[in-house]
Amino acid sequence: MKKKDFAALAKRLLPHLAGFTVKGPMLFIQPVKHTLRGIYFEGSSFDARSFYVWMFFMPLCVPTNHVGFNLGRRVRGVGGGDRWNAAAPNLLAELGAALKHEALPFLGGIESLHDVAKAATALQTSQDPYVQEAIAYALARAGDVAQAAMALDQLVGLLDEKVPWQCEMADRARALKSQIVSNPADVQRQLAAWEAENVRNLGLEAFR
Amino acid sequence: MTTADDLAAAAQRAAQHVGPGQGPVYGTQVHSAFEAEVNTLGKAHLSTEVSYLNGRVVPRGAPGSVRVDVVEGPLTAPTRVFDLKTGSARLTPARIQHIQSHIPGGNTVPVLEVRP
Repeated sequence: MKKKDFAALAKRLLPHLAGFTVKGPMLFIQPVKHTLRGIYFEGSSFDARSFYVWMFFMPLCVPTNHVGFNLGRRVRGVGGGDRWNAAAPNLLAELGAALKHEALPFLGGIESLHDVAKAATALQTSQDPYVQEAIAYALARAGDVAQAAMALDQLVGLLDEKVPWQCEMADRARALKSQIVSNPADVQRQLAAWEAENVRNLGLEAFR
Repeated sequence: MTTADDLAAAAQRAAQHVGPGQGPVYGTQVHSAFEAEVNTLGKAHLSTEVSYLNGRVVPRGAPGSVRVDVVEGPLTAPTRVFDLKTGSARLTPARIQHIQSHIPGGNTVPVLEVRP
């Protein structure tokens, strides 16, 4: 399926999803403030009609160039499989029900940055650095200096700095940690700048 | 049955479904049939067609990402990754290294070949 097909499907699902809007292959809760909370349709190479559905959230103050699903999971059908078929006769009803049953409770409870940290903590079962980074940055953006500093330390502790992307993540976390106590206003400015940059990168300016 | 057994059986059924053949088109057909078989298993600990970039789960086609055939376990902490190969294609050490450079857990996660 192509992006325009996903957009058309997303629009047909909107009646099931109050408060959501559509942009390309993504449905998300509007307005987008500090956090993107969405549903993403991803094509499959299986055939032209098959696709996957992700529900996810991401705090926008963490620098990124992509949508990522580490804070989320695939929406599965009643049979347990994670692939959907656009030609299925009951697609709208089944997918709408699955989204209502899974995605709305998952995403709807995430309002504040503390909610982001709490929801991410609940997902942090595998020492995933991206999840830990989201926790730390959300707490920092919420102004919770002590908890953020602790979470940043935990993040650095998870990283293998021989790996380039992890080294970069560790350097950024250490820089944030060093400033968060001494100069919290600068940290807020930096996080706000990353947030604005992500909004631009993800094309979300019109949905704030 | 173990996951490896399940996937080997799925690969066998896929190959039988597609019939004899060779080359890239045949490989694609077997991949599609294999993924359908895995999906039909309905096992929540198995996911097909997952893209990773630097330890992050990303949408299909994200620049620089690698897409793997089957992931066992949580997507952010896979226990094993399976790559389907058909015909003379082999899972090379370079391909294993490339996959491991992007999946969470890196080289601690086994990347295994599945063959009909």
